[in-house]
Amino acid sequence: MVEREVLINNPTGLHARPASLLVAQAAKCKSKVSILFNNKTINAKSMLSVLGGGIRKGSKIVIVADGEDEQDAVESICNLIAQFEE
Amino acid sequence: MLFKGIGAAPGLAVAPCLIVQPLPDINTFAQVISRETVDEELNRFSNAVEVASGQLEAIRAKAEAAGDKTRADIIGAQAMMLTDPMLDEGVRERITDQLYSAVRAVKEVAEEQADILAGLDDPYMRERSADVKDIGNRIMAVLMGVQEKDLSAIVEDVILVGREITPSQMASLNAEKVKGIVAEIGGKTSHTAILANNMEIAAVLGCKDIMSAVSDGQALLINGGAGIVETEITEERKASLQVEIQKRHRIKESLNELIHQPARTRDGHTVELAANIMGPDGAVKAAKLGADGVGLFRTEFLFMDRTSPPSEEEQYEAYSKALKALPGKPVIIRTMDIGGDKEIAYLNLPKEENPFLGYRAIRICLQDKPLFKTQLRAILRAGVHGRALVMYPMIASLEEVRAANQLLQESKDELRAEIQAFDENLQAGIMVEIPSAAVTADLLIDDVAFFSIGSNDLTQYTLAVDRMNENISSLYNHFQPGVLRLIRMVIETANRAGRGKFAGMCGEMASDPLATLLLLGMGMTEFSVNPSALLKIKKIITSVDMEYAREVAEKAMKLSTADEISTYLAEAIPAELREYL
Repeated sequence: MVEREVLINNPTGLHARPASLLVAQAAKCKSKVSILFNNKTINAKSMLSVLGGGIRKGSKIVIVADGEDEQDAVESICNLIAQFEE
Repeated sequence: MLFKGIGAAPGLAVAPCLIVQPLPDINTFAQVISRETVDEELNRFSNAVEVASGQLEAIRAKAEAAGDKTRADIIGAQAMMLTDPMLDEGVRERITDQLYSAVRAVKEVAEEQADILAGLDDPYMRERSADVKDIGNRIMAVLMGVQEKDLSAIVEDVILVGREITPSQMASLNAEKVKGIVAEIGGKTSHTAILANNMEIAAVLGCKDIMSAVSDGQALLINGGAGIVETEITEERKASLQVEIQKRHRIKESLNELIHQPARTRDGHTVELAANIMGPDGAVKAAKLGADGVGLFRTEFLFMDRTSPPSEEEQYEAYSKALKALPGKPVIIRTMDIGGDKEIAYLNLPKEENPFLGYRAIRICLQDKPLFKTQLRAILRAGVHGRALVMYPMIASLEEVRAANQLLQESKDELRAEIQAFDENLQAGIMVEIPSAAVTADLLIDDVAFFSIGSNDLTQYTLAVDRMNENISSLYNHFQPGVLRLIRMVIETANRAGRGKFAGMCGEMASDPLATLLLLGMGMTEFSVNPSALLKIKKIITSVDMEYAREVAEKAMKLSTADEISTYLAEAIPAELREYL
């Protein structure tokens, strides 16, 4: 299992387009991918789960991946989140 | 009886009602299953999702074939949600662990998910919440064996009435025959309302208790503009309404005859009648309406609702698409007008005391040069696909025009060095919306190809009336003589300059039928209007003589108050045109 903490820094948080990009990226991974936020575990492969998480700008979240490509999974999702900030 | 709801889409109709039955009470179906039938129930669920998915795909394909992208996208997003793991796992867990029947499990999970999204207090999330309920109901209907009423197969005129009319029902119905929509829930910004407007179907939503007052086949009257539904209509009233409806229909038909005619007065004076658009799809619509081009492409909408500015490539695609939709016709692309009442989070603009007098539009662009040049490069490159013109907003002085033109020149040099195709002769003009620009039009004209009068801001700045402040909204009036004198000055300066220079208008005033004769008579040669007003304005222009318009303008300019002027202009419109206003 691999996990990493990231800060959500784009103005709209994990909303609409950023959320769908993240879900699409997570869906490509073979591992189980979740987001820990506010003592909740969010399924990163589910749009409903990610939207329902209410993750806004300034939220600290932990990306957790468990499975054969766990290292790449965490890496690719953190990279994607970093791009949101630009 | 008269029912009042929210007028969600305009239109007037009398037709028999067709009730869209809500789902049967799920309590009449099995709520629990036995341990032995778990696998069977899981299979029923999988099959129901598959059937629902097939239904949505059929609706989506139909909408796409009809060229209705809004409908196709809404349904496409719902289809994605059908297979969301939260829904899938939630339902399977309840069936397997709690021995719930599939229908009960779907109901509970869909409601739970919808509530979470609705609780986030965000308009976007509320719409998604309605989508989740919609797909939940769709799966439940399949599980309960409810035959979906095929709304696309309606062959007689009807008004649909339901507790709720869902976006997917809207997307599937036969828009030719459905004359109105009445529902107990929903509001102005719901997907159902957006679709009804798009499809030009009258809609009254949030119309409480309507379901208990109507039965299938009963005649109903709907007035979508006023948000009114009537259930008891006398034959007399029905007849007079039919007359009114036919009149509206006739007016619409007669306006449609103008689509392929030029905007030319009876005595042969032609003007350009263009449309205002918010994106490339608007250009396609403008072409269908017979617009002579686009007088205002509001590019700021490409910059909104996202987390970073659109790339050069993305902008190039959008501008090219608009240009290709109107081959050979001018498309005026206004560089982004952000700030004031339009905020964009990623630009990190500070909060201002006076945003309308602050850091906005060209003022941002001249400081954030990379942002501006990206847009200029995209417009220059797109220019090879048609007749593009670029327009700078919020110009107050000649220095700003020159600075913007300098950056345009630099962008051309860069593209030339990169050996990229672009429009070498792209013409640049300005919005005239700041009084100083209007007063110094003669000083600006040599450096621009055209003026486009932004009447909304010009009115607000000339009268010092904040147009967002409701307390003083009565003071905001584009017929104030002070505003009209500035407008005349701008038009006359452009007309005197020759060299192909012109003055047009893209503000709301250009879409105001009361102002048409006045502006025409002042010598304005380009009107850029809202698509919904285009044919009305063309009707006025094509029904009068230029000579008469000049007389009207001259008389109006001698009057001293806005009231006198608008009263006179209303009287000046020939009587036979009044029913078109």
